Amino acid sequence: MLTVRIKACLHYCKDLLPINLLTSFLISLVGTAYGLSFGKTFSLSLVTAGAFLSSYFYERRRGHQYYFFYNLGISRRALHAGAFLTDLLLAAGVLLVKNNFR
Amino acid sequence: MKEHLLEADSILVELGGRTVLSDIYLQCRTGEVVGLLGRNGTGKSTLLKVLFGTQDTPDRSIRIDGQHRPALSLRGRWIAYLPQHSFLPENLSILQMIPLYVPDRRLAREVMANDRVRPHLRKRTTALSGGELRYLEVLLLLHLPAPFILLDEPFSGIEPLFQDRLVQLIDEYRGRKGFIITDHLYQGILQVSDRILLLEEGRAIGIRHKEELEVRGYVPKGTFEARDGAAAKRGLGAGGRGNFGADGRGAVPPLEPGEEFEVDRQTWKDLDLFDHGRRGPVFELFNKVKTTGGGDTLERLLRHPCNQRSLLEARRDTIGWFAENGTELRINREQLNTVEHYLSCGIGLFPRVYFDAAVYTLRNLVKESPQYYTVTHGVRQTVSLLRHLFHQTQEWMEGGAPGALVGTVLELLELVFDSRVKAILFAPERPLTTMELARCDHFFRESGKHSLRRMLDILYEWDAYFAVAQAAAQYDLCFPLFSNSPAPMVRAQGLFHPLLSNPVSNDYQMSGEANCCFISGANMAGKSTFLKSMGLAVYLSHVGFPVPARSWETSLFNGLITTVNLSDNISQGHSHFYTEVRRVREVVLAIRRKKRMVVIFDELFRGTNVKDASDASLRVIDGLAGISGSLFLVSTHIVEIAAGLQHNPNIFFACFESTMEGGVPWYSYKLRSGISNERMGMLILKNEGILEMLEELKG
Repeated sequence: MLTVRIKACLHYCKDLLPINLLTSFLISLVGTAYGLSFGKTFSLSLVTAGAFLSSYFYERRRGHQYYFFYNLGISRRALHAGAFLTDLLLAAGVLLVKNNFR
Repeated sequence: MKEHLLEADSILVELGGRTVLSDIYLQCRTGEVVGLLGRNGTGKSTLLKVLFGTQDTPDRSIRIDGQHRPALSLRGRWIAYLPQHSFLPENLSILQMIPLYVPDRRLAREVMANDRVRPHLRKRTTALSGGELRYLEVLLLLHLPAPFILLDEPFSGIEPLFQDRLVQLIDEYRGRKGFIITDHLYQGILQVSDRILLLEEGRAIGIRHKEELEVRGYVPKGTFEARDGAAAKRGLGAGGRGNFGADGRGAVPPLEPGEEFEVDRQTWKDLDLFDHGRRGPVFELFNKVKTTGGGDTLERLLRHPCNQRSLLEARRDTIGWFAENGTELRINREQLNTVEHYLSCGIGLFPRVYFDAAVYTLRNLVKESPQYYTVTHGVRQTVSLLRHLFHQTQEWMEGGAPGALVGTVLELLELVFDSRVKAILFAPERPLTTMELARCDHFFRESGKHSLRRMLDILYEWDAYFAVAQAAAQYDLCFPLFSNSPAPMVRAQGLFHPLLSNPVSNDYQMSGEANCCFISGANMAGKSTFLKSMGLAVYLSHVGFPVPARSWETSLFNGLITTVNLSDNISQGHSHFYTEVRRVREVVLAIRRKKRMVVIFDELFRGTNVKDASDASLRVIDGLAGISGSLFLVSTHIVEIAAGLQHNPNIFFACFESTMEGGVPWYSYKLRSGISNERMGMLILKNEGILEMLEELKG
């Protein structure tokens, strides 16, 4: 059941990712215009504004799908925590790539 | 499989300053289906969400097997929930989704191989129809380990075919899981539920009979009530309100005043007909119906015995002819469901003016709307059903149907005789033109809706009669004769109990002055079975149904009261003895009210000491035997009182034989006159080794 829950959680994260990436990309572009580092802004946005907006849009557009996860015993809080962790890993990855391949 | 119990109480929900639910208590066991009904806004969905833990509430207590559980630990592990809207992710194919809900590979393969799922495996949920999607959702939930499933409006918005499939699915899993279901399509809920709760003003009220739904105003008055042919001819709908199609299934002509046959729940329970609103094993013997409406009609017939000779004879003759003739009622269950759905769909009528009808048809030829499909398909199915029905009745008429059946067939024909659709219904089978569709739709759902309802009721009634005829042939039942004798009488040859696999039959007669039979016999000699057989024969003959005997003749009575499996009433604080005393009082009051009753007592006053029991039995039996017009059958182990009763000419004595053969009791299960002094109780106890076990324990 744990494997199933992890798979379901990853599916949720995958659903959030496109909006998160798009939002973070746009924010980074704006940040670059103001002289901020693209990579750092992108990474920061992935775990803040991007994460928040993607969760918000998911709630608005697909809020009814939460029952899919509830029936598997996954709470909304667990989903948010899983998504945040994924975003954090992604942000860390971006920073790592940025620092090593400069 | 371990049985679990879900209990919820102290549920309090306030929404927008209004108390939606207050102090609700609800319980559900695995293997049970609990139906929740209620008007809009009474909190049905809210209650399910509270149980599932997705609705905040200031107060609630949910226990599984008596242990309090927080909401988070319930979801998925103990409870699964089907919300009103679809909950499956739209961007996953069904093939990807199944392993998430069914981790076991073997089970997952089974789900994928399901006939209704297999064609859609590569599709996403958005490509499925409403019915297919609902079916898939329920199927997935049923594969979760959760022993309790909450279904919120599973039947709403889907066609009857899928409603039927969902019912089948629930039936398939009901042995393993507990279900709480709510829907506005109450017919589906009534069909599938073991218990019904009605939410009203924040409270959950237990509903024992569906008629209570009328009394409580959940459905219009007369929805479950009978409508006779005269009313149909006058054009009065259910309850005279003209409401159509709410649920007209299972209508039976009502009894005329003063013709009721009084019977109570204890008697139903003793005879294994109905117990706590559920259908009992004897009911199931007859339940060979093909349609849901037929099942409802059969239940209504069995719940409403009467003593109107003409009605009983008409019913008996019709069933008897069906049984003798061996013909089959050819009904397509899915076709009937489609017709019922069409009649209650609430879609606007087909345009009547030629130009409008043509434009409407053309528009739908380009892109067919679901409404157009429902109406045209419904009309075609209704026409096909009626044509088929008329064809079948014609065969019956040619085959020499009895007068009662001929009368019903003529009534059926009369219902469409003056209508504008007569020519269509009696024409050879061919596709209907647009104007014929329009004409039929207007007749079926407007001008002739009451006639059509009556026709469907007749069809359901025949379905029930065919089921009973089949049972009569299968279990070797006989058709009752009704005596004209002014004195109460019953005469049975080869009476047996239909639930026994190898029953021993008995001949028995009661008539004339001796109206009280004192039955004795050793333990396990067959007293209770005989009394139940007698009760059942009296009851079934007053329904006009076949009786478990080789021949059966009876006079008509006003009621039957049996007391075989009486228990104490702990909720009211009544001991076993006090319950027996109250029962005797009920009997006396019923006889005072109705005069001609059949009364059966099995082991009178077993709940008190021997001295009181014998004194009370003596007085009561002696007193009952003095009441003329009614028949009494009383069994007892206190044979010592027989001497005190022998002076009464109204009492005769019968007993069941038993003998000892090599220390083992032998029973003939045959009734003979006299009193039995045999005692087998201690011997049975010894043979079971209980005394030895007790001795061993002492040592």
